[in-house]
Amino acid sequence: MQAIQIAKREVRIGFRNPWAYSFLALFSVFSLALLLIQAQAYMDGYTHTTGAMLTLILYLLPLMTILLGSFSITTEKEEGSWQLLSTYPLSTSSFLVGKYLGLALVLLVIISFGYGLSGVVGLLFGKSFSLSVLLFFFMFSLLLVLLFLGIAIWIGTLCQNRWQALTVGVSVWFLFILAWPTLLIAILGWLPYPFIKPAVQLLTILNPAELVRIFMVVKMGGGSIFGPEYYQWVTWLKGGLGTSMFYLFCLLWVSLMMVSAILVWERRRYRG
Amino acid sequence: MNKKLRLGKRLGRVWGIRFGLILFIGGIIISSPFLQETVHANDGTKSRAAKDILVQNQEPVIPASEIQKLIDQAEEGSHLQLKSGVYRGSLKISKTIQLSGGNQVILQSEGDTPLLTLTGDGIQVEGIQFLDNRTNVETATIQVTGKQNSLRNLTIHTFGTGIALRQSTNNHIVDTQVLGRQTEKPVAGAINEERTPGKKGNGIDLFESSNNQVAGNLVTNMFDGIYVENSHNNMLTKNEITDSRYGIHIMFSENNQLMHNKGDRNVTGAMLMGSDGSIVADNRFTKQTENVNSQGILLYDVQRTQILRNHVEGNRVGLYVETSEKNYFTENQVLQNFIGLQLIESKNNNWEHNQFIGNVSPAQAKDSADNQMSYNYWDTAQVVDVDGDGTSDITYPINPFFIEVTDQVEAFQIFFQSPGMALLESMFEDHEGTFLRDTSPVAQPNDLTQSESNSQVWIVFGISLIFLAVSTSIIYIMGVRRK
Repeated sequence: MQAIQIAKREVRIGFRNPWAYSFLALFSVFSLALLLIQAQAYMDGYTHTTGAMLTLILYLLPLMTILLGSFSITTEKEEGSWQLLSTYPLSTSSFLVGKYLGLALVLLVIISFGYGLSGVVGLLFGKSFSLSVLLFFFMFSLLLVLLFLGIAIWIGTLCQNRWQALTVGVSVWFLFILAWPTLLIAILGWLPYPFIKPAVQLLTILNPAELVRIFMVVKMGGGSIFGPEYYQWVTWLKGGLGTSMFYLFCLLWVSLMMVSAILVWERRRYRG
Repeated sequence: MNKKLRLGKRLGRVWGIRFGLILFIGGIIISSPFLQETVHANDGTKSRAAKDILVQNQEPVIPASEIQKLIDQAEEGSHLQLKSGVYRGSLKISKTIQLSGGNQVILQSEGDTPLLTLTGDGIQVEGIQFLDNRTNVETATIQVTGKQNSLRNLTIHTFGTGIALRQSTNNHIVDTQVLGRQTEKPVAGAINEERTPGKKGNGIDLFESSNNQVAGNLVTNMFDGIYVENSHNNMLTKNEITDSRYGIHIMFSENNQLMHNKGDRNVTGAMLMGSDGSIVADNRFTKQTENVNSQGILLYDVQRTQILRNHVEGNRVGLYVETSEKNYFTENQVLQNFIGLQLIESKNNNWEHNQFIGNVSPAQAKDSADNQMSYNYWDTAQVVDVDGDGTSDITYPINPFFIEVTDQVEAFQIFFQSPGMALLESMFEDHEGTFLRDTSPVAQPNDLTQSESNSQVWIVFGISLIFLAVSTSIIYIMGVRRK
């Protein structure tokens, strides 16, 4: 119940914070841009345009989530509100879980405002998203936000102030989004051939951006772009079991992030 | 009074939030079915035909030797109209006669011999259903070695090969159905893998057989729909092949014509190998994405072939061209394939007026210099048309970086369209001018109507409004409003 209070507080702080509104504005402009790109597509289903849109979302949303999340936590440390809160009988876990839930709601509001706005604007100008595309992107964004928020909480836990959080956050974003294929191709190229594929698979599971992207592409019916090597993976992921395993994995991923962040936080709280 | 008001406000807020959450969750639940990929239902031709057979199966079975007796007694040029019924055994015809079953005759197999063997010339067979129960045999249900024979309006259910032509010329195979009875799905192995004995056979199989006409046939669930080897000048028109490995497979055969054929859900629509001077025109090969090795049209070691006005849609690779030269591709529609055109070790081919739309990757080329591309439409190309002549003033280069990376390590295919990959790719520019490029891409696609479903517009509008309303009210109620 304490967590709910913290979450409410987080939402309140979130929407009195200029950061949230600047991201809201940015994301709204961005989703309008997505709408314009979508309007150029001649086909339904997974196409080059869809891929381009996924790429754009992958550039923006994880960065936004990481910054908003880690800043929110480091601010508490910097401004001393955590020091105040820790004098209350408030457990670390309710604090962090509350933070997570509150931030998740803030981000959810930002993305739904963005897509909602572009959906309405699109209809007014006669160039609307199709229903499946709208829901597909909403789902994709939601999953990205929830997974990256786990990372953001971690970064907030480790860093002392916003500057540190910014540095670490941008590095993590760069690693997971931009440098990922380059690094993997460069490093895994040194492995003996039979080890490359298992290594790629394992690392892909550890990168939430790639994992969500692959899952969504498969769900959109574009799984075979990953080639014959991943045929079984794709069919499995497309089926009911694979899908539920994916959601379960996401849940596990977030819980693991949270639990480890809580443990680290506790250690610091009681041992200084 | 004051207390009551506050309570009311508070209740209102609580319910506002709950209502919002319920709407959100509802939205997500509603969205889940749309995220499932639509599965195309089979069109049921197969099961319908099989049912016919089963129903009639309950009639008493007559030995086929009764028909054979009639055939043996018949004079050259005579017309035998068979009595309706179910026969069992096999038939051999070596003289010029006409045999009609009026669609009421079923011939079932007995032992290991083919159901019908044509060794004579000018034989006409029509309106008979063949139910081949043999498994693991090398002969086809109908074996033809003569010439100028005509097989018309037949239905063949087989575990092996349907019709085999051996050193047999000038035959007509028309309006016939070959339906495979094996249950396993078509599998794609390496290019041009041999078929395993005892497994599915080919629908219509031509070997050293030239000048034949194969038209209007339907082949379902076979190994290769129509297989042509060392056979020249054949006309394959208006055939439909579904759920097989290769729809039409041409090996070492020259000057064949493939026109107006249709292929759905095969591993590959048409495969030509070591065959020169063919014409592949007006064919449609679609919905082959289910298989990760699928191609619309596959050319391997093919020269001087014309690929015209074909429609390849929804394949993994629309047009796959390897070690092929001097072919001419024009007015093809390459739509919604994962890779529109894949070109490997091929040169001096010419592409004009084709349309590449909705492909995830429009074209990939490797070791393929000296191909001419112009006046194609690419939806991925950046087009600058200053002089307004409808074609772009800048060329469209196609970056081969990704295909080269994945060619060395296939596992890296997982990075397809990964955001970091796009960045990496853009670092490898075409400094040496070896990229495949369209010298003057067309600015606008030809007569293509944008697919838009208007029926959903209001649902989209509604959902968007809900998104907007819920998010604004959460911002206001939980964030902005002071107590």
